[in-house]
Amino acid sequence: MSAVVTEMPAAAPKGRRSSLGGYVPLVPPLTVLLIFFAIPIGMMIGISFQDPKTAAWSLVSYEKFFTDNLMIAGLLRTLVMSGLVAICVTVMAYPVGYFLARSTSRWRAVVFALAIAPELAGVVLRTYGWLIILEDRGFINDALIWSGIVLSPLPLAKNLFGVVVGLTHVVLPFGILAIMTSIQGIDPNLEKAAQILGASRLSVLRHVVFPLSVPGIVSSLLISFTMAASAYATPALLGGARFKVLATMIYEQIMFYTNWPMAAVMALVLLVLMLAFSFAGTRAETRLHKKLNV
Amino acid sequence: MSDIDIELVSVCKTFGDFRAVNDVSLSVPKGEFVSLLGPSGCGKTTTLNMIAGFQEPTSGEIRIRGNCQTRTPPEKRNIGLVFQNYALFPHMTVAENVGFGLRMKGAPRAEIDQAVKAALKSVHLEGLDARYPKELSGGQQQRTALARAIAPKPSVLLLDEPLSNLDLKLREAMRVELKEIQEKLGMTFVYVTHDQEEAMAMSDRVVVMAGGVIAQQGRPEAIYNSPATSFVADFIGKSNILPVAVKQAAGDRREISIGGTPLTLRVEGDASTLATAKFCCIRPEDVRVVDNGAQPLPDDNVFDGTIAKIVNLGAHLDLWVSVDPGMTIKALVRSNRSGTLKTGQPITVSIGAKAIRLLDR
Amino acid sequence: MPITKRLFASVVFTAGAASVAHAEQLVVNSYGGPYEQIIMERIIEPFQKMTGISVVYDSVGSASQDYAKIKATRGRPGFDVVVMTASQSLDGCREGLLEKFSAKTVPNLVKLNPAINRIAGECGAVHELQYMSLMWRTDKIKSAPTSWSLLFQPELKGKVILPTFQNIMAANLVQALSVMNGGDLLENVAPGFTAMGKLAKQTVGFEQSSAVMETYIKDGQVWAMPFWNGRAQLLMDSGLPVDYTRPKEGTIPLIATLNVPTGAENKAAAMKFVDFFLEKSSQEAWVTGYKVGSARPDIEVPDSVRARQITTEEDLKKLLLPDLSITATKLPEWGDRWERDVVHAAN
Repeated sequence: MSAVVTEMPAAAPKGRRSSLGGYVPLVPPLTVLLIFFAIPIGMMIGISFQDPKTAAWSLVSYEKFFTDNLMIAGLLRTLVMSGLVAICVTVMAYPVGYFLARSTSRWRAVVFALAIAPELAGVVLRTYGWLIILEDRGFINDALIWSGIVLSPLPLAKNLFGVVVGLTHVVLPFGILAIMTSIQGIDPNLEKAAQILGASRLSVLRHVVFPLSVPGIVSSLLISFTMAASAYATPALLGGARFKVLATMIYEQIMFYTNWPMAAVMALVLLVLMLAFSFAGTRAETRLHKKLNV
Repeated sequence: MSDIDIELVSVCKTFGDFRAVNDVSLSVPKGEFVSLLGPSGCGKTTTLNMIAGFQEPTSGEIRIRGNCQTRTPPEKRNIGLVFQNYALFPHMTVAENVGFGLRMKGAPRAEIDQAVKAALKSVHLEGLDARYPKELSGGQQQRTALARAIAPKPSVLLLDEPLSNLDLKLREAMRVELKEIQEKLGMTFVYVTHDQEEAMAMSDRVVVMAGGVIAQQGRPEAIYNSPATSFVADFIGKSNILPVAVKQAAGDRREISIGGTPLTLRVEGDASTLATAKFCCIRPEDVRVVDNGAQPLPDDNVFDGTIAKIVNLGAHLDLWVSVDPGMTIKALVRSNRSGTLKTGQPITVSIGAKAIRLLDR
Repeated sequence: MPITKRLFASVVFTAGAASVAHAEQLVVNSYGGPYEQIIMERIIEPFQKMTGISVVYDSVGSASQDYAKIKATRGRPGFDVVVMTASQSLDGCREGLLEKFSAKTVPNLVKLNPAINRIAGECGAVHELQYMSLMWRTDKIKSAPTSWSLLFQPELKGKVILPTFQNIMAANLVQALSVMNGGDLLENVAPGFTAMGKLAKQTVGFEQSSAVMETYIKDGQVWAMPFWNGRAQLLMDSGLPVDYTRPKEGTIPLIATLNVPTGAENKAAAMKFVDFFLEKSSQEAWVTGYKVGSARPDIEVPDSVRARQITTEEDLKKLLLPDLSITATKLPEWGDRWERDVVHAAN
């Protein structure tokens, strides 16, 4: 699923006469959005209210989704997985983002390339890579068993752990960029000022950098969460039959059960959830910017 | 053990091929207000950064209060720094900003509060404790930065062009205040600036830097009156710098002729100075307009010229006098003469022999 | 003069276009892997040579995924012929998404065993018969098993692999185990699910495609598993130490069909292809190549092949054949139960 647009750029009216004219440049992108986004979503909403067998108006799919404990479990699994990915990504992205924002060493370009380059390989390739590493007869388990540390393979794939590892890897570059941008916006002199006032490197991070980078942290959490929640390939490959999330459940409903109304219900639930998180997240970011006076 | 708060011994800093600071040695005694003055790129900010500890010298030593601190990190040097853009913590109140240094030292709450109050008082910012930096005016921000730097009572305060973001009136007022605060606290101030008026107004000693080296250092009047090089002469105050062509010494008389003109000027000075002189420097205020009101002295150089340009600065006039096709001299004339002088008007000027400084470079 | 020139040019152009159109194209959707190689060699290349129609091969999608595509595009999925199963044939016929075959369009249809062909309905042409066998590694299990109960043995804990519910073998396994434990194929499947719940504790995991399931027994991690007999035979022939059998409690057949979506672009060529696949020679080539059974009773196949395949009505009668359209309607309910009783038991 692509990112949801929650804000539209505002056109500044040039004066009373051309106040309508200011909106003219918006027409082409709005038309595209209308045709390829608004109308299909509208159709999907319509489908969600159909009875799967008779196509008559019905709430049966909504009822099933919200009362069936398997469906709710899938929803909760999606939220938990996305939350864990958001946290893992942000924690790992922070030091890298800080380094990229502040470093002047010659390694900066290398680190930057390493951080972004995996994206070029594509999601599926990287996920298969993780499968090979994590599965029962994969690289890690082979090494552990060969060295005698464990006797039987550890369950590293086809579960929450595998999916979180795979998704964290896929989403990490975006988290790094979010944090890096945020820290780049912090005046480097602030860190120097703290230092000269006696703050150790750790204190500088704690009292100056970290508080001022909170908007970036929120941004990273938000991006990671929404990307993880809407991910298909990684949960499909690394989650398997035992770890179903909304995205894979939607696929199953369409491709196996051909139950479009149920698929539409699930898709709408996912969409509404992500809209809610995006909204809350951007509100929080704005408030934080005000509070931090930056 | 010494009275010397800061000592730089043959400090060099190179970036690749570029020598930003080239063999600089400096001793700053306790309680002195010293300015590092020079144009952009002269190495003054790099020197300051090395004293602060943000950059390490490529060679040489830095001693603070007698201890070698060349490689000590900034947080352990116990000196203060006021940044050009203040660098106030935007997410903390004025009180929290000012108390930050003592907080880092682990001082108890009561002590911090007291020190903050005292620091704010000394910069005349009482009552603004709970404000945030973005709610303050430029001048208030600057004072907060100062209060923050002095609150932990360092013995040395570094200031990196702290007044450059303020408007002229405020700047001039702050100059006076800064000097007052420095004297009251008895703190050593090392002040970096490119504004020579500022350096002259506040400093006990001025260190003029150019191209990574110290061109001249000394009391402001000394540098003004006796610049060592044409660069210093040009940078400090306004001067006329004229190339010296032929020099003659006969008995008591010393004469120089100005290159490119037939003009000869009588000067004072010993034979060796005369021998090595390449330039001469004449301050505009020493160029007197001769008219019915003022009489030239017998030893003065008097000559005629035409007024080439007049710039009226309110309190005084800057006059450009074309004495000869090859030479234009700037004179500083008091404003009560403004009505009577016009461009193109012929005028007679006199320059005392004593007022002509000879420079060898 | 200019008008004549223009006329001449347009005639030439149309003729040229027509001759291009004459070089017909056909898009065939089927499976990848060893299937693709064999079908290419034994069916598609001979077909191309005989008719001059160029075939574009599309190996994406399982039977249910292909059917989902047909449904989504209302019969215009982009391919002209597709390999699915009798289940989708019945569904698609009812929904009007698949073309009905007749003796006129597909003459070889009458050569198929009518009872078998009836199972797939009017829109499915049965080109292949398989059954769900029990496959095991001969080097790990010394005595040849005869019963599904092999999978439940304690020695086989962690040495079994199961399909995901999106693979039709899963539902079939439930049905077979149901009958084995006193239930039936459609209504009383509770015993089947109970047995599957037990089996879930034996499995190393769940995989969707046959190709991936195969890898587990290939590297020896798994010692026994349910598998379509055609593929099992292929594995055997490739040298892997495996064998397969039809368990005594019975098993479910796979009635594979050729289908033509109603919105296919090259319908004439599609019908030709279906007819060609059902030719005696093609069926013989297919049976011996892919190691499967055929619905044509008149083909000549070696006895060794006949012994292990479904080739007659009697063979089919010996299997458990559920009403496929009812099975289809049960899938959502069973899918649910599968999640609760089987997948969760495995965790």
